[in-house]
Amino acid sequence: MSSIVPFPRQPTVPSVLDVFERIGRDYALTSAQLPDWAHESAALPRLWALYETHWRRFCGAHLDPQFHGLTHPARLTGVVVATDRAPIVIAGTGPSLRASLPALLRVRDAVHIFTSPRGADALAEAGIIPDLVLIEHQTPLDAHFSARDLSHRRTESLSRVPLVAADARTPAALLAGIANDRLFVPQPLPTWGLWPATSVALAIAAGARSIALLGVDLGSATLPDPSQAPLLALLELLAAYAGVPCLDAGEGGAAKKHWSPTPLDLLAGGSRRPLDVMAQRWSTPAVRHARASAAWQRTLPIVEEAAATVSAACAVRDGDGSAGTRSKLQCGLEALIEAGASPAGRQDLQDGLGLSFLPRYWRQNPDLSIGPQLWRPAALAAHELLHQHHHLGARLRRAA
Amino acid sequence: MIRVLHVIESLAAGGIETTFLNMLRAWRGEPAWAEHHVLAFAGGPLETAYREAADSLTITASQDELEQAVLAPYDAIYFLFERCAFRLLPLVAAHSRAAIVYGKGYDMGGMFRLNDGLTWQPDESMMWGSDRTTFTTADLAAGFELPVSRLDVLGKAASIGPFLAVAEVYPFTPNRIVCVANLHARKRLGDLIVAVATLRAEIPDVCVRFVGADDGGEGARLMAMARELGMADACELVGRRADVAADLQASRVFALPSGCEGVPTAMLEAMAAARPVVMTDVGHIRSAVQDGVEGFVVPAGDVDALTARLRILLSDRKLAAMMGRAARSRVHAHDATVVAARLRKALEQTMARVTPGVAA
Repeated sequence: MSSIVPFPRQPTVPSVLDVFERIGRDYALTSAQLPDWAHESAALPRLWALYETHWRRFCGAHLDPQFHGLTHPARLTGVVVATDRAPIVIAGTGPSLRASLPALLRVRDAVHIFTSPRGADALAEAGIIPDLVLIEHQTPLDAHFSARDLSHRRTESLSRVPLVAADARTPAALLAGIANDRLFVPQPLPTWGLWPATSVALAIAAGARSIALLGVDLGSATLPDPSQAPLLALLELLAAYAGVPCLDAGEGGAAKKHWSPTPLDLLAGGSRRPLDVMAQRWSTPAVRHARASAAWQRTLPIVEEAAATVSAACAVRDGDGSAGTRSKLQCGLEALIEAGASPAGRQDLQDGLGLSFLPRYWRQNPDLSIGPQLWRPAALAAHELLHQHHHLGARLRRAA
Repeated sequence: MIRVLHVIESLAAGGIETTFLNMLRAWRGEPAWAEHHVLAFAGGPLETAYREAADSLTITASQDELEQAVLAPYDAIYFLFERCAFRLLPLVAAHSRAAIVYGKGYDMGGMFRLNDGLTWQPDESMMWGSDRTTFTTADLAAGFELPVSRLDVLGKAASIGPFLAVAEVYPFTPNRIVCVANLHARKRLGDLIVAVATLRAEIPDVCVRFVGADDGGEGARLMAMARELGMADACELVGRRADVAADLQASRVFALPSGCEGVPTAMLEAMAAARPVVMTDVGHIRSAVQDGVEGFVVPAGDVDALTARLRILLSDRKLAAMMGRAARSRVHAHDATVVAARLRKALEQTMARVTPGVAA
């Protein structure tokens, strides 16, 4: 089993991963709002351009609208470290994985394997237990689907994995059967919501001397999957700044800049040791509930504004064209947008309530000239705010 | 300007998607409606069918292209991919006067909300921000807080035409039970194997055929189970088929013991083929099947009940034929062309209300 060692101080020189992680929190509406230290990184302009182009400055990778963080069973948080600097293979479930399983078995003693829960299942069929499974879902619906799906499956693969890094939004049901000394919440978590890229970032941070992709195909060499363009761009950017060789060991996948096509067998020869986790105690459920409760309280004023906005929106929608109602609608929407002006307000509404629509409007303001049709963005954003506030309140009352 | 944005919840090959596909097919003969429409989506199991049907439409996949489509002067735009919808519906709502119609199918979000306690529902907020919402079933609509004046219940749609040509069960039809479903643990297909193994003591030639893609090792598990129960010779796994009419023709009963469903298209196809159905009481199956009329509805996981109902249908051929005819009669309400006409009417009415004076 891996050892747990004390958590180190935060690095003082920003790396690409620090900036990547910071942007991925979605706290900054513009790059100018990032902390000063982030501007010392040469990677910032490219990272921000990517965030703008493919994520529209909002990746939602830390939203927890189901509030799973309140019941997450992990006791530890930290970062994984490969003290032996052995190569790390990121194993996805694309077609190239199956074809390469014999080669992976041959080099198994020389490499660490990071994968997803589905990847762990696929590897288990070949008798391979990965070193680390990262549990991260792009959306809460995906997470719920995984938890639902798990209730029908008999796989034990996760319980045998030495380390399970489960992001703070992971449903507790997915983590049942994983021993506490193997489970941790990865923090800092360099993520924009796409687990292969997050795994690559964790592998860079772990100190691997090289990183290889396997089964992360993103379409085929002749027909790259256009819906994977954000992941492809992110993988390419991370590789450009990784500082270690990045290899694509999956045959037949889409071409990836800065990932050199390399047979897996070239990684043979070394001998890996167990991974370490530099860990510290994670906040207790009581502390997490207290924080959630404080955020719930702080958002009460804006909730009142949202309720009035929904009322005005419904009235306008149903044909009330009076100047008074339309003014209430516009003022209400403007107040919701204004709530995003303060970083603390944004943090409460994103991290505390898990909102997804209003944060988009902070980044791309509604066009006030669309007249009565303004009821729609107002209803959309205000309804989500009301619903999530009510949902969190109910959770907290049940817990109390 | 765009006149209507039609957001369709997902890209599974389910009812709302096939309904829309049938609309596209119908529009091919109507240039006035077919011009200047954009179908925007990012892949999925129906992609090929959409491409074939959408000869006058543009299909695009990338996020950039989707956003450009929103800004282009098309009359109507359709988004069929959930994550696109989450990003692009707010954009259109905030920057356009176009009518927004949200098409809610019985997909994962709906299933999880109604059966499984999923409380995160951004789609409900999207309904609040849309001019109108269409639902697959009345039960699904009842799960959301929307006024009746702002919703339409379209009904689950299936292309039943090819199945109406399937001959009714005749005396020499084999004692075969057919199950059309992807092989996945949540479908509880093992229950059907156990039931058939039990029935073999009384009906020696009873057998079961599973038609559907294997979803990662479930097929091997089912065959191992069949071998263990000594009925490997009576259990067929034939994989995915483009045309299941022949499988229905060669079977006496359709059964699906699933633990998680909406209104399965395969069930409607079997009903169109005049096969009595044995279903589990999950999802909205009761919106299309009344217990004891078109077949039977049993509790999910109740293998004894499943076995008993199959026994009745295999033994009482007169009753089975009667239920098969009742099923064929009932399923006409789910004909995709009928449902597609309802959808088109809903789109046109919404456009006329939100952007009046602009001809469709």
